[in-house]
Amino acid sequence: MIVILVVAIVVLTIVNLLLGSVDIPLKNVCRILFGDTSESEIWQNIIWKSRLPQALTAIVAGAGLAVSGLQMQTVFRNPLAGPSVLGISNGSALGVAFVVLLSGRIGGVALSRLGYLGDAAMSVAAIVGALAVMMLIVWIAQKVKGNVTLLIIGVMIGYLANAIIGVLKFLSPEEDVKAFVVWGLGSFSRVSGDEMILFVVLMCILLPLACLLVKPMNLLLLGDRYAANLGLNIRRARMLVIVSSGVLVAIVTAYCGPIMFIGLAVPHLARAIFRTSDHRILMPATALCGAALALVCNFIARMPGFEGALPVNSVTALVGAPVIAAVLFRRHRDEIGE
Amino acid sequence: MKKIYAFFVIGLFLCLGFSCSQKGKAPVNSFAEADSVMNPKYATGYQVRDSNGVRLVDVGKDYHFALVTADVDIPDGYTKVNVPIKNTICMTSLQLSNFTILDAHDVVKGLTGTKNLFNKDILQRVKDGRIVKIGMEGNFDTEMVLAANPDVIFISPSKRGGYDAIKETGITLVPHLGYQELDPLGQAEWIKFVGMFIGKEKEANEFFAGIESRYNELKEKASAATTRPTVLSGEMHYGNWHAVGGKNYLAQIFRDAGADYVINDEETSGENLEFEKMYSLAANADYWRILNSFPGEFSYEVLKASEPRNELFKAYKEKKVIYCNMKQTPYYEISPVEPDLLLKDFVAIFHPELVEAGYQPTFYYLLK
Repeated sequence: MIVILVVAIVVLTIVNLLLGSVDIPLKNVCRILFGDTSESEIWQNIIWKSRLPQALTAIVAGAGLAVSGLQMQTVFRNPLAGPSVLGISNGSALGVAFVVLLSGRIGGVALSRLGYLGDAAMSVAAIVGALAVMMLIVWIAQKVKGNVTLLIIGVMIGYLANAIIGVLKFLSPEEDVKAFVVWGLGSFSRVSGDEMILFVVLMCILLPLACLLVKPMNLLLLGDRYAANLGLNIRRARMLVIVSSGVLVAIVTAYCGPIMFIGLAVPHLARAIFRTSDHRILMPATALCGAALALVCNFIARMPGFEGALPVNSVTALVGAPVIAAVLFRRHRDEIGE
Repeated sequence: MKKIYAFFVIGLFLCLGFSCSQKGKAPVNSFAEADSVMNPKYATGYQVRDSNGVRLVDVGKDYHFALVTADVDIPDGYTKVNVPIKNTICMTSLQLSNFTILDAHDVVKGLTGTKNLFNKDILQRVKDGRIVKIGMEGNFDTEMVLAANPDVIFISPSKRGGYDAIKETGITLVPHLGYQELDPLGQAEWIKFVGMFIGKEKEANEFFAGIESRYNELKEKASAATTRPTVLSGEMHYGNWHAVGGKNYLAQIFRDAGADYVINDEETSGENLEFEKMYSLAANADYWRILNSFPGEFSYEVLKASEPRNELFKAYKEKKVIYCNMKQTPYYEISPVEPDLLLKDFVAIFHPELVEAGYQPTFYYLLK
């Protein structure tokens, strides 16, 4: 199954490289990919500086969000948990809102110049916002015992961040609000050049690190008491998983904007396909499914015909929701009689 | 895949449903024949005729106003407006520019906001409280609107709405559709429209005649130029390029200034393009026009830092970026009513030999 997924990802990557709003014939794409520099410079730049970064971004972002979602669902033993549930994505949105919407007011020129240069400044703000919320959550996690309490506090923090964003939006001129809204649509195509390489490298370090946590995650599934009896330091394990998940979301959100849905839904898809709850399999499976789904969405968003790329966030749910609902339905429809 | 298509089809029907339900009433033409028709020459958004001493103005398909100076009967389907109006509220800087040129700031009692506004007289009036700020479209402060006590409000309707609350108060809303005009002279000609409402028709006509002759003269000269450079426009944000289409105001100015805009279809006035599409169209364009609000000095370094792929364009490599900073130049306050100045800036860049030596641009200059 894993092999099939890997093959699917390779195929989807190639499809992503082949198709776009500009028609480039198959054989020219192949030649460019094999390093032929005699092809049209415009086409070379399109492949190397636009399509390839976009495909790579989609792969690592999809994998990162999916893994993060799986971690949250396991820690909270709640199938509706996702990366946004602890208010971490709201935290990054708040960070960006501060840069975009308040740039004219606080700090005057310095901050808003940063805001302009920035896509970089926005990434920093998003990470700072997300990590700040995460620290808060971790601090609370040490103080409170129940998972549900923590979950509810997380959701409240999310609401709080949203409320502040609402006030900022209300007070800001239209252009700034629009810039913020566009950021919120999410996109795999805003990263390019060195930033993209940094992003991919970061994710390539963080994803394997997340996989190191499979053992405590398996134990957490058994319930707190069992896990504690088996020698697991529950508080520490819970915190490590939350931190890992939070960092993944923070970084993906910083580079791609808040991408919804993948984090919540892909773990279910992986569970349905692999019929297991063993994280040793589920973790890589979720990462691969996430990457594949992100590639599918990226491809559909850019299909010739809707030139100009639909917002990724609309496509993830529009395409993903029926697919995942269908898979779950087929797996579970007979269970009612059992 | 079938499921996906089904979703799109449903969405499409929803959209159609909404757009159908918004059509208004057709104009009623039961009144006597028009005595004289004074339709604008370039503007397409409004029409004017005199009938039995009543000035009838049709704006778009759905709005009909009868401008009267005394209490007379007006045709059915028309809204009576007593002119000249004494108080009004403007929604955009384009509208405000009409009042500025006609020296009629006294009439303006309210604005949506003062961001990027340069006019000292207006700013002073806002400070003194003679002009109130009524808030953004979609979120007007109805109390402020009522306090300004306008005879009519010039609106600039877009999708965000928020006009219903004002409508309830019984104030006449007059759409100023200048921003929809695709021809620069058409946009400038809306000054005549405002002129009719505030009793400054003569001034407006004279002013526009000057603009028209200067614009057409320069356009004539530019059309004779032997070379026609190509231009791209705008910036990419988050991987998408909101490009003005070939049918846009700006594309028309480029053509009139003796250049060609890279998007040559006459169909769209604006569209979202992916990087690769824009790049394939514009990689070798000679010039690149950018208009933004950048705090501080804009430069090629900033342009590259904002998006590393910007350096791939020929216009970037050859330092042919045409730039205007809205933080330093009152672009939207002046350019809509004086397109001849805008045209001259572009001609001075595309064909320097056609303007006088030592020409100082009003808005756009070549970024060093």
